[in-house]
Amino acid sequence: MAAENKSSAGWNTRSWLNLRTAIQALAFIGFLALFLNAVPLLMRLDPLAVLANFISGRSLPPFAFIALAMTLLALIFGRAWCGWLCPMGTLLEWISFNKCRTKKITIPDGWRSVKYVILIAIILAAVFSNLTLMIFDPLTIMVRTFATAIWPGLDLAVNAAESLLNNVPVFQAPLARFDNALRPLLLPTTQLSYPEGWIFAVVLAAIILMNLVAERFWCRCLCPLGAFYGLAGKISLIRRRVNESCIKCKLCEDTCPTGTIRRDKDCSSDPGECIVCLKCMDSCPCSTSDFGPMFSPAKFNSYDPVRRQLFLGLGAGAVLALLFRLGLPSKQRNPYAIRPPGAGEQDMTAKCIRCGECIKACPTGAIQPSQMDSGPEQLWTPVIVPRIGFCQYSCNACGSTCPVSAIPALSLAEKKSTIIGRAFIDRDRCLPWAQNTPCIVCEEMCPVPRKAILLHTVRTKREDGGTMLLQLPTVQAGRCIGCGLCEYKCPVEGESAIRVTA
Amino acid sequence: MAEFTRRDFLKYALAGVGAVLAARFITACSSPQTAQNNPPMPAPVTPATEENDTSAVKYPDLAVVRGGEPEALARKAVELLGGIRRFVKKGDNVIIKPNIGPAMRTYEYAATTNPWLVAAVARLCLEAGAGRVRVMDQPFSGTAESGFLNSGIREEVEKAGGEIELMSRFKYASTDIPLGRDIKKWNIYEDILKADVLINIPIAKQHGSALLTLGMKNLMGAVQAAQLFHLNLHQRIADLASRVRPTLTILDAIRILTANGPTGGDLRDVKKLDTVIAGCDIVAVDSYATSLFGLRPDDIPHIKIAAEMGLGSNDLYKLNIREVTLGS
Ligand code: SF4
Ligand code: SF4
Repeated sequence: MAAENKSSAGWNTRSWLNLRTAIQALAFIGFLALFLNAVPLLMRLDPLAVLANFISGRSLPPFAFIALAMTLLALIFGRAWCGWLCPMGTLLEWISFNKCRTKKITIPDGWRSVKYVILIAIILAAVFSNLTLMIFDPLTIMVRTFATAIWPGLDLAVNAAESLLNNVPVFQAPLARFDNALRPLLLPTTQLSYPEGWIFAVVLAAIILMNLVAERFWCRCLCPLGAFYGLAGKISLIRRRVNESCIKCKLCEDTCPTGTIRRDKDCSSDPGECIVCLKCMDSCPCSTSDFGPMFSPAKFNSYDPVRRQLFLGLGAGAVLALLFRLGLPSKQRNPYAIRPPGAGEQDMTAKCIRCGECIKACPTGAIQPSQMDSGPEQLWTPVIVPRIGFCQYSCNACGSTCPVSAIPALSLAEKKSTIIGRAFIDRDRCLPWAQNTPCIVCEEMCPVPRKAILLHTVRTKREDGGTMLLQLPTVQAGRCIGCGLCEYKCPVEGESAIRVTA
Repeated sequence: MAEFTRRDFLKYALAGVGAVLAARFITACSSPQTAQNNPPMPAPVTPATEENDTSAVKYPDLAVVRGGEPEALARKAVELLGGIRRFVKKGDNVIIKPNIGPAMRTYEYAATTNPWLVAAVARLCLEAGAGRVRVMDQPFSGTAESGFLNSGIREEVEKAGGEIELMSRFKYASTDIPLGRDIKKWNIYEDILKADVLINIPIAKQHGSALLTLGMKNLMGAVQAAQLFHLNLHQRIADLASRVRPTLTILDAIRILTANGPTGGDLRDVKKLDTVIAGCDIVAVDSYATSLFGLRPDDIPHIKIAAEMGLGSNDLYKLNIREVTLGS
């Protein structure tokens, strides 16, 4: 992004700006494509996720070199990630509410230090093998929200529209074609439900609404990934420069989306805040503002992570990590928190970065973000909730999608014999046992080759006084893998009469 | 930076009102609810064809063909029943309903209908000039896409020129079952009810609660919330068979699953019989098929109930059965 003279024919500052807009749009489409195909590349691009996972899990996650490359790029281009690639940043730029902000609010500079506090807290908690705070990472927020709220919500809306349009004969054929050709690529084919999806929708909406206070409020004040890149930006090679010909016209101050250009400071900016959007370069009437190599580190600001922020962050991280430690030793774990195949409870705290890629990958929607009931330190880690979806017998999608191997990548054969839980029949709710009514849906569904549900046939009285044969199910413990298909299909209303526990 | 003006507000408000009106309009255009709930019953197949003298022709009730490749078995069976043109007319909208029970098994495990058999029937229909041949089912332990893929049915059917349909949620309609004794209404897939020709291609396998899953049990793939059938399974299977009436049932007994059904997964439970049993009378097909498992029609309650309800015949002695072994 070297400086270019505005008047030079062909390539000028406007071209740079257009290039950035195009790359942003492409990167966002790329994000959607990765999301839809459950390719775990996005989180591997995230140096914060990889670093935190490395510290916390005490081993390098796969493909860590990608994150290293991103860090090296940041040492050259600073926070360009935020202005050019980050899907959250792009979203915040597209929904900037610039038109709605009528009067200019200057937010106190001190607020900018919050993001550094969060960053330091994440790293310190990771030292204590706890990654709960990764819920603040912008990429985890994006994937989680798209997986549990936006994607299934879109599906609901499309389905409602389809049911409506299907009443009109001319639409029927195209609708069928859409459902068979496009739906499998763009939308879930089975209805997914995420009872807690609204929480994520609210969180993302709140982040977007903060734009009403100031443009890219999230990027300025809160984003820990932005803080990480910001620190790299302080010493990055290419930075914004202002030369003496500046007339302090303040045009750049008004266009800067992060508000880091300050007239009272000679129209200079902080490379830790600058997202290299190049808007200042374009707005400058005298071509004073440009981007080029600078060699001495940038000077520190009051909000930069000096002592106070450092201590705050360390304190917050330590307190949180210790608090969570006190919480729940694994013996008292929630028995209904069934983990995806092969994932250990310890991995869930220490390795899972809470990205939700596995949630998206699971074709039956079985994987749900756990709430507080497995302990606060497990917040939004994956659990299988069989009443909502079952673990498909020939599927190992979650393991091969998890970007940090918190869920091991099992081969299909390994996965089929991996025990994720055990089914127990509640004889007080089971229709044949409790109500003398034939059923055994569980036996029918059980997918293991030698069925894990055994049937005992007894002769019992019928309602009308005659006799009948009734089949009573029991679980053959050694065969059950805990896939939860029986719990999913059990026709008893409300709580299933057969339940899988970890 | 421009403000959000009154003009903007009016613009958005108008768009909103427009959308609501459009939705209203569409609902108003739709056919009245009652008509939709009761698509006509399929007409019974008449034994008459143009080229045959109607009075003289007498087709067998059942065709049982053994010993051959799936395609040959299918062709011979249909030929014995009078040829595909007896059932499929030019331009007909044909739906084929195989059994793709568990989404994860390949055909060897005999838990899903043989893909070559399904493809052969699709090809036959297209040869008879069918306008459209669709194959559909909803597997129960996985997504439909994976079921079509793993069973091999997608590949073979598409090679034959047929279409695979992933059954859409919005196409199920609450449907009256006038002859039903236990269930009088259920959500059934509309297209299956409206097809000109419905060809049912079940696979014969053992089943815990239904004892065997054959032709009638296979129709459960056309409904929503099938697990609720189990509360009174045999009666409800028969009730459904009174409403969803296939033109032709071609039972796949090329490989049958004798235990651990309907999901299977162990080749020791699979028996290779290379047999196809076809007929227009679904009860008769199911009745004959019980013999593959060493049972009698009366051993399977839903067959007995269906016969009592007059849906077909379970009296193997009175049926006209043509048995043929290929290559002999
Ligand atoms: S292996 Fe099971 S839990 Fe994991 S994605 Fe597949 S179905 Fe879901
Ligand atoms: S377990 Fe799931 S949420 Fe956690 S890191 Fe892996 S894919 Fe992301």
